Amino acid sequence: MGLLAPAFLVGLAAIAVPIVVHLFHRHRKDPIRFPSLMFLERIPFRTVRRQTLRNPLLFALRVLALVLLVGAFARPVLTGVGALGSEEGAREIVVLIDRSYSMAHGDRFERAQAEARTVVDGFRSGDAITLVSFDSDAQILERSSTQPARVRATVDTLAAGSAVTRLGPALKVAQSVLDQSPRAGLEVVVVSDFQSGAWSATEDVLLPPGTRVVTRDVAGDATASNVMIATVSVEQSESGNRETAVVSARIVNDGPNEIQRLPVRLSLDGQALETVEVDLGAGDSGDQTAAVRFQPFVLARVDARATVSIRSDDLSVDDAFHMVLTPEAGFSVLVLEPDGARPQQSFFLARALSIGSEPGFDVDVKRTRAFQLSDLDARSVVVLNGTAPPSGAAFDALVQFVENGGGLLVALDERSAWPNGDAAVLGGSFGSPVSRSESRGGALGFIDFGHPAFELFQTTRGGDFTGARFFRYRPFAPDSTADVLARFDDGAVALTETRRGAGRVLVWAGGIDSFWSDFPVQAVYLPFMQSLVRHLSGRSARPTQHVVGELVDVAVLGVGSDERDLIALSPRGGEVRILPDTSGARYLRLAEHGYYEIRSDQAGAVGTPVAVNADRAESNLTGMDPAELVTALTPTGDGAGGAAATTRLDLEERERRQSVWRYLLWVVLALLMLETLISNQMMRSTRVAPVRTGG
Amino acid sequence: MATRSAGTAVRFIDPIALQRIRSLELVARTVVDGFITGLHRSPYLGFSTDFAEHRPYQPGDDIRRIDWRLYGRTDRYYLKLFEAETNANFAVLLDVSGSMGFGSKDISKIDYARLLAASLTYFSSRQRDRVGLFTFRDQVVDYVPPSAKHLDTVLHTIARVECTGPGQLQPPLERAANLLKRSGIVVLLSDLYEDPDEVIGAVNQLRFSGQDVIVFHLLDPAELEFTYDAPSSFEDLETGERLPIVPEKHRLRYHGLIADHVTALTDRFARNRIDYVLVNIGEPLDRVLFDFLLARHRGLQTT
Repeated sequence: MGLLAPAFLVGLAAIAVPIVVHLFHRHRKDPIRFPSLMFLERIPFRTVRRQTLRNPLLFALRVLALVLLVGAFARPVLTGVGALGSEEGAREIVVLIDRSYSMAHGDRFERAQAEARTVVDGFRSGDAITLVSFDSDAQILERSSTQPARVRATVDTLAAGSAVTRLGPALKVAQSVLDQSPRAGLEVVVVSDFQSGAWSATEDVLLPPGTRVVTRDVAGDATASNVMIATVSVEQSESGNRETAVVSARIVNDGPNEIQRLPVRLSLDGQALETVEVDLGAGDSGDQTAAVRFQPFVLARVDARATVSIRSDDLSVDDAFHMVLTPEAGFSVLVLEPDGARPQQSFFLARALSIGSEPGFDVDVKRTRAFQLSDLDARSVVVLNGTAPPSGAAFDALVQFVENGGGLLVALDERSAWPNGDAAVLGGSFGSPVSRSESRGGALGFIDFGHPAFELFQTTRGGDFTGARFFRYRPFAPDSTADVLARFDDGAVALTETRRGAGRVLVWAGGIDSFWSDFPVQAVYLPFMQSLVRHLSGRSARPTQHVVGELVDVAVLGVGSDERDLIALSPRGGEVRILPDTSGARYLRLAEHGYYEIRSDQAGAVGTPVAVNADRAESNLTGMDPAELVTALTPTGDGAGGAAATTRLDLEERERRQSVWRYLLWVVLALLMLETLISNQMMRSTRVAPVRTGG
Repeated sequence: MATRSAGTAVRFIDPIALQRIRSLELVARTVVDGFITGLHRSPYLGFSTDFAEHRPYQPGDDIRRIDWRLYGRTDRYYLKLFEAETNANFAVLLDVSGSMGFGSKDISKIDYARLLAASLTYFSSRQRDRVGLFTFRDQVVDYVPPSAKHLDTVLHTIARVECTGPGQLQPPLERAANLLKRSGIVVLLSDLYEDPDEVIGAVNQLRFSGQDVIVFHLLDPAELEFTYDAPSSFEDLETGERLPIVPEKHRLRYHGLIADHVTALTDRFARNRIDYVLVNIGEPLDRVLFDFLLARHRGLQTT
């Protein structure tokens, strides 16, 4: 037991007050004037009675309350085994063990486990151990455990992962645990290889004062060797009816020794396609990087698993790079014109699309009258360029085409018409042409740049729509199903979108040739039209690979969102069920490197592979000085050795955590209430009925 | 005459409020008129010069009491009734010793006694009694002989009394017995801080001289209940003597002594057929008067 403010013990002198009150019955200074002492003189009393305690119980209560009050102000600290369970030397130990993939280098992780076991072996009675494993996230595996055997068993089950190291989240977890700990000794043990990128001084972590920070650096050899595949790129192109891919890779040697004839292999679906040998200089020689370009190969099937690999070294995670390659089919666009169409009515659109590549656009222009149902086969998008839609069964087929996921662009012109009663397909109805030619023409006044069709143009240099002048347009009245994506400067609707089944319908009110506007001769016309068609096709670019730690929307991966139960098989064979969130979207956190496979949980379902690679930043094994971390975490910078921690600070921290004074004040309050109760009871018992008066 | 129940319909007046009224006559009127209407005007209606009321003639009535003037105007027989004239002596013996100056709250015993004396005197004066006054300590201080014209003098004397010095009943009451030649009603207002036997001895001098003695024993609530807490020195208001007292310790004993004293006085006064009223000055004045007069009226009816 210690006292933080022993000077307050002087207050114990106040105990004399109740003693004086009890023993000497302090008399009032002024006498009480009373009519007659006739009866009082008859009462026998002796002054010696005043020297005895009138009520020992009340006296004891008052003295005890005073002593406890003084004790509370003296701010006691329990240092021995006490009523509050605090024990001298009892520690709250938080062990942070790094599980990032750099810890898989050599025997780093085995040494980290050994360090953690050493800490657990130092467990004393009263201690509590919290075990946290961390990479870019931190996970509490054991919280304030008093069972060292259990913690040790948990340490044995740990393994290095695929994510990068970030000390910040782990230290914040430690801060949270220590802040809530009632124990006096606070200790954080960080077991890591302390890569230079793992810690940033801007991290807002400050451990409680008096915390002892112990670092266990398991990096070992400072000149660790590592060769990695730093980056891989793929170029896909069409060659005739086939699509070919060319894979390029960059290999980096981070070790002190040069490497000769290192084989770099490209495999597709597990079969080796090509192996290239490269020479790499030492890590600091300037020629430690080698670029590899493999021969083009034909992409014959979708979701092909392509892997570039080198022979495994001490850090095998970065020795392979995984990708999923799929032939990118071009967009097939059918443009329908009215009979008697203007010359070159679809010229600008066709030219704009024909320039596109990766993938390209295949554009067919036909008269509406010549439309056949077979024209919709393998089409991505149909454009009604200033014409009414085909009638009868052809119209129904067109609607069905949209509902099955096709895109329909309706460019309104003076000849545009639409069957009565089918306005729902458009998402609204249009009126007679409006002329803006009396002025300098209208311009686009509002554009929803948040929409995917305008995503390309969000940046400042993304495209200028303000230069286009529209001299006529068809006023379009959208219904509640249509979203307005753009308006003219007079507020009239310029572009709307309506969902119809799995497809989309876009209505452009201003014509897409040069008859009503100069928009086709603006620079922004070409990318805008390509973007519209791409958006209408419903196909978005699918990444060939992801990085560990990413949260991906499975809809982007091309997995049907209508699948009720989706599961993901992880590269290590684990199974994760992907449940929809409140908005119906399904997300998957990629925690391992390799190939995930997402599929329905139905038997025989075909999976969609997802390639995941480890973040190459973790492959940089350059270390940091753990002392910097200790200095940043403890205000006094005394946490490294622990021995220098000042006793005063420790005592204050203990007192703050124990708050014994708070309990003492509650006891004082209870005692005073009891004293009031007892004295009131005694007062009542001494009263008697007054003498009856009156005639 | 209409009468009212004593306990329910009567609204009592706070003595502290009465004390704020400077004029004792006004106080007396306020008190007396307040309760006298419900009690009675005068117990006796008889021949007097003060006309009271008319009532129709009934066979057997003395024809000399017929109001012939009224007969001349109305052609009916009415009798004239007059208030009786008692012509009794009524004297107040007011203790003005130092102890009467005590009051634990806003009113002292002498203030209360002033109001009580004035009210009784006014009440008696309205009944055509001759009113007089004695103030005394250990001797008679002021003496106003009973007279039908001395109401103002009595009230004036009551108003200017001062409480000081020691008190004793025997000498002044003996002196009063000698001065009161005619029998009448004597009201003694005192706190009676003497041995009960000495009190009875002194009061009996009046009774033996033919007076109808009524004793009002005035005590403050603090004297009755002894509600003091802090240990203190208690100073005698008459002698100046001091005594250290621990009230909390001695309260029970004090209660016993004061109760014994009151019991002894009650017993001795009752045995000597003297009306005795213990008055707690914390109670309303008109209530005390009402209770006393009602009890006395019942006593007269039964005797």
